[in-house]
Amino acid sequence: MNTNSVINQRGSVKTVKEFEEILKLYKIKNPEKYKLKKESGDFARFEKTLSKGKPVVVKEEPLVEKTFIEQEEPKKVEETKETKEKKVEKK
Amino acid sequence: MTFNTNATTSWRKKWMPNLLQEVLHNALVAAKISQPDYSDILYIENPYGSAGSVTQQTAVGTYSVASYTSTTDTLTVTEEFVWSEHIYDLEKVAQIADIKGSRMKEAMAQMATSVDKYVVNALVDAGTGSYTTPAGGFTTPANINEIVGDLAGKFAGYALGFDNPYIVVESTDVTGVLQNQFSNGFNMADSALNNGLMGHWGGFDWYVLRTGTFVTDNLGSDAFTNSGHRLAGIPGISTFAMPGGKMTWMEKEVSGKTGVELAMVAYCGFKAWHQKLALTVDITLA
Repeated sequence: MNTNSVINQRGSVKTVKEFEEILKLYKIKNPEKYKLKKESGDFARFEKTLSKGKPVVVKEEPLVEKTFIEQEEPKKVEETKETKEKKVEKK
Repeated sequence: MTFNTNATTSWRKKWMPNLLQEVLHNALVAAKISQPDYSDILYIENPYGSAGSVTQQTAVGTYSVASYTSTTDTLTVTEEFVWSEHIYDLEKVAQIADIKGSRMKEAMAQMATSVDKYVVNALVDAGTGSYTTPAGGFTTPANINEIVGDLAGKFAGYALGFDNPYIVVESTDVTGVLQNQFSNGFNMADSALNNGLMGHWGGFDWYVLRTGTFVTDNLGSDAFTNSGHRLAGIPGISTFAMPGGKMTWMEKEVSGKTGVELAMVAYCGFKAWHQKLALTVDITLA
């Protein structure tokens, strides 16, 4: 049953700026663990994995098939004189 | 406006919270490792007393008296989980399926995933036990025996026997754990080879959540820095409260849109109780 719900999860922050915001809040919430993690290099290790620019938007396609509205019939290209000529040229 | 005179609607509304509780009970890893409380309460008070100590001394017949103190420890329901969706009438009409029923299942699955994510992250953060794996973490098969042995020591030697410790890993860790299960022992290895990942191995209950569950991010009102961390501990020494009476399923016909708007809201609070915080181990992957 856990299909799209899992796939669509956001995961961790993606930029240094976002991470810094989290750290500000975390320092207030859990100062003891903040100190431990900072000293152990935990934060520095995570920061290395982050993008320094804008948030990285990861496009995730849902696992479900498209609904009937979204599904499109493949377009049939009618052969005209021009397309026929192009085919011949390619050959 | 949706009236309760509509039998189908009223039954769905009536059973939705019950179904959700059933799903949560079965699907949640949180319910296995933490103590769920579905009663209609906002606070759970659990005060604890100061730890006593024994003084060993040369026999002189005197002693000094320490004062007993108590500290309040409270779980407060602070988090709100909301799922909502609008199903247009044309979607409902054109599909030969019970769309509402299908979306209910999706809502329940998403709710379970979200609650799991919150509770597991809150538990890692609260735990004062700590352990750093050998380089490669759980994905390196050769590390697993060492990790299990090291973690077992975290729960050993107490006067109370703490049984059935658990380990929670992410799906990306399964490869190392499984390969190690394949290659250790005879009947145990055979069992793993026949059936796949063993849920109880090395004295631990193993739970697997999808990759991306342990996060460095804001979840609701909380900030977490758990990316690259995993969890081990003794079950039932923390509580997550999910007031059943406040879990609401809504079906609304709204102005300007065909079809129906569905919404589900649930509330959650979590607390790892102070006295046994060391029995929850925050695992750092090296």
